[in-house]
Amino acid sequence: MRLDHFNSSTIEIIERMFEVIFNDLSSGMSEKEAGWRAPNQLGIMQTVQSGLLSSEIIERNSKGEVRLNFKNYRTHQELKRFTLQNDQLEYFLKAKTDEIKVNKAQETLNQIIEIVQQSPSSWRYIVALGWWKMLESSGMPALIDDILNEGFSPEDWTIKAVKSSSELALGASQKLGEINEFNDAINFLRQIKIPIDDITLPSPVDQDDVQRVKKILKWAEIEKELTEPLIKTLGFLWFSFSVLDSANLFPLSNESIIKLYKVIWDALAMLLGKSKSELLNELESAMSIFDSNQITWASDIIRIPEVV
Amino acid sequence: MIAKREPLTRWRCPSRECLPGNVFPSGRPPFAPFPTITNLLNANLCPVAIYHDLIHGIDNALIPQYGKEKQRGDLFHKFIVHLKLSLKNRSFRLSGYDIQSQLGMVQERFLQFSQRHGFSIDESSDILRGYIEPWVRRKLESGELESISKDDQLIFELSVGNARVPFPLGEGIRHYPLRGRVDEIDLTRKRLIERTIKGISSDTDPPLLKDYQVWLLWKILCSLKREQLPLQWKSVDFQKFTLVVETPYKDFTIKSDNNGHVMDTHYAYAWIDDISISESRGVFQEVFENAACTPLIPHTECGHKFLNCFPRNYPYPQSRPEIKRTFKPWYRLLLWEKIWEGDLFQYQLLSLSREELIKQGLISEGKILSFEDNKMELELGEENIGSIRGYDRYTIIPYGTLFCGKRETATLVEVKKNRLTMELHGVEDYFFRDAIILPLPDLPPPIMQEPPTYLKEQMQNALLRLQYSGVIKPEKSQEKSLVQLLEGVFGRRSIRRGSK
Repeated sequence: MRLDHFNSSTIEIIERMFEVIFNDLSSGMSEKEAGWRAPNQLGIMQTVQSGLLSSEIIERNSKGEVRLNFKNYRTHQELKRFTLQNDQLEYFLKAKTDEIKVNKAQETLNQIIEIVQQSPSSWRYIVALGWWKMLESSGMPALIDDILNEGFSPEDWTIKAVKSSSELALGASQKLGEINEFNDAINFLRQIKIPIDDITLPSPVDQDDVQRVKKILKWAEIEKELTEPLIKTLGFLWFSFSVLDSANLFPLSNESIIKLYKVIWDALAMLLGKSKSELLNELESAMSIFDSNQITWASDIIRIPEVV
Repeated sequence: MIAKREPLTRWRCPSRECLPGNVFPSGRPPFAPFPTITNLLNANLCPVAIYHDLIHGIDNALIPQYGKEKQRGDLFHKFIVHLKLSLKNRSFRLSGYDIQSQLGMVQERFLQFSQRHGFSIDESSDILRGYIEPWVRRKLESGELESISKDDQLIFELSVGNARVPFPLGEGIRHYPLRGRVDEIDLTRKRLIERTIKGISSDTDPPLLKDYQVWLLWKILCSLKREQLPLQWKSVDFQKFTLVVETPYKDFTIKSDNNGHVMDTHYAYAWIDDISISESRGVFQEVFENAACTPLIPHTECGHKFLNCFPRNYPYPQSRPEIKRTFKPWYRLLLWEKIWEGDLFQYQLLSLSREELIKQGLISEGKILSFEDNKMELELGEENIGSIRGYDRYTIIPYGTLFCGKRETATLVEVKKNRLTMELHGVEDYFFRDAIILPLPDLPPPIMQEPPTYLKEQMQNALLRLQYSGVIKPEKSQEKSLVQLLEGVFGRRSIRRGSK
């Protein structure tokens, strides 16, 4: 029997069964468990149930519960006439992959939190690595006249300024404690056994270049305004994102990303004893100071990761 | 209901240095876009809809991206224009017949009209039954169509815009730029009409956001000074106009005094500003946190839901996260280019004086010598001819002003000394003959080349399609060269020449 032959009340039942599946899937239930209900809960009379079972529109489990037989290819094709519900079903089934990633990401985050709580000295490594990623990905915007005045060509700048990011990051992390070289931070990462595919050291950089980069960026003035919570906030956010990213634990859907982002912020707030808005306000005030000091490029370098 | 957002302290317009084009376009523009009414409708519908509009170049969330609704709506409106103008110039008469016969006459006229516009018989009959017939029957029964006389002043598809439209906020006023297109202004009956094929016969309210759309158009018209209106409109007072949303089945009169719309507008501008040029990194996250729907309870009318908002994210290519991350900054960079190119041009048109616009070469002025077979012959001053080059596409305003006028696209087909011949696109003869366009006003019509910003939108959209493209099954992913190529560029697959 084809769906076209069902009357409106049976169509309503099918819509209800779709709804049940969506609710189950979105509340975290697996594909295998989702959608099973006793027939009377779904308002299915015995006669209708027989028709639906024989046409394989629904399936029954050992407990006598039924659900839409959406795993069956032929039924799935039939159900496509429910355009919206079909779109929803496809979405929720694909979203399961994201859910697995978010759960694994949460485990990794818990691991990081535990390490920080047990050994507060690890903050400096997290900051060194996080700040390195933040600075490197900014592309180091600066004023072209300043770049030329220091003897860099625009092409040189794009290479050497980005290369210097590890040194600048090291400087920020040293505000929290002793750290001699970047290798220390990389070794820390190796010790904690967080699943990261490739850990590569930043390439060596000429100290004269670093000094000129700092001068162009007015780095000393920027560093002066960086408070400890601000350094930690940015370090933790960028560190977490790069760890999750290289462990391929970053979800695809915006809803899952936002969920994950909230988890990271909550962890950060817990570690620093400050709310998200307090931490963001601190960042905002630093940016206003940079703006009023005509360091307009600072907001494009010192920033929270844009995830959506 | 729009997602609330703190109203802006001021809208960032181009500075005095920036406005004439003296600032080299680079990076984040130091001014906000020049929004269209569609931008505001999207912002009002959902922050994610305006995000898709600005970032991904997807225009109107309430018109499905793939479907015939837009073409059908255009035909519906075009035929009504044709019908009203035919009645006005007496080339088509309804008097002396009963309503049923009149309806039959209009139906016959529509079928000829729709086929001229490339619609099949089946499609035409569908549109006739669904939209034209109920509309015509209503208008015949109310006597509206029969009452159209040759003295009626009916203007259709008029482009309106102002760089400073005032909207009250608390004790003060905020000014924002806004532009749009009016479906119909009936100067005789003092009505502003927004026409749509949306809605059903049992509706008690106008289709979603159509009331807001006509209200915004009215706000622009009310904000214009006398000298910004067409010459013949000096005594028109738009404050006294009735705002109407017209569906095939009903006419809805819209209240012009609506504080809800005022506040929605402030929120909408705040979203547009922040998505476009805000330095705050958390804006896009806030956009999605304020989404008007979820996959579980999707919006019934929005066209984005399972296409752009909740895409299926096929498992292959596996490098999709990398693709997404790589493309992300490009979308906004393309938007910034569009703002520098297109929105700045709109600010210039509606903020600089006519003399400055000519001096900058942004517009030229010509005197219309003749108009026949869609070809308009114009005479330009010697000082103007230099800026018209190449047999290219232009915009010409044969009627009205830059603020309120009939903007037509035209191709330059002939240049003889200072005489140009422009071929107007998609304009029917009757339009100029009957729609009070001719005789021409005293002012020479401006001619300009609008930057092709639609190309940037197409690039944004193409990037998004590429980002979402993929397949479910691994064996399919091996066959699809696009998936393999994406894996090669963004993933771990090594690209090799040849089959090995």
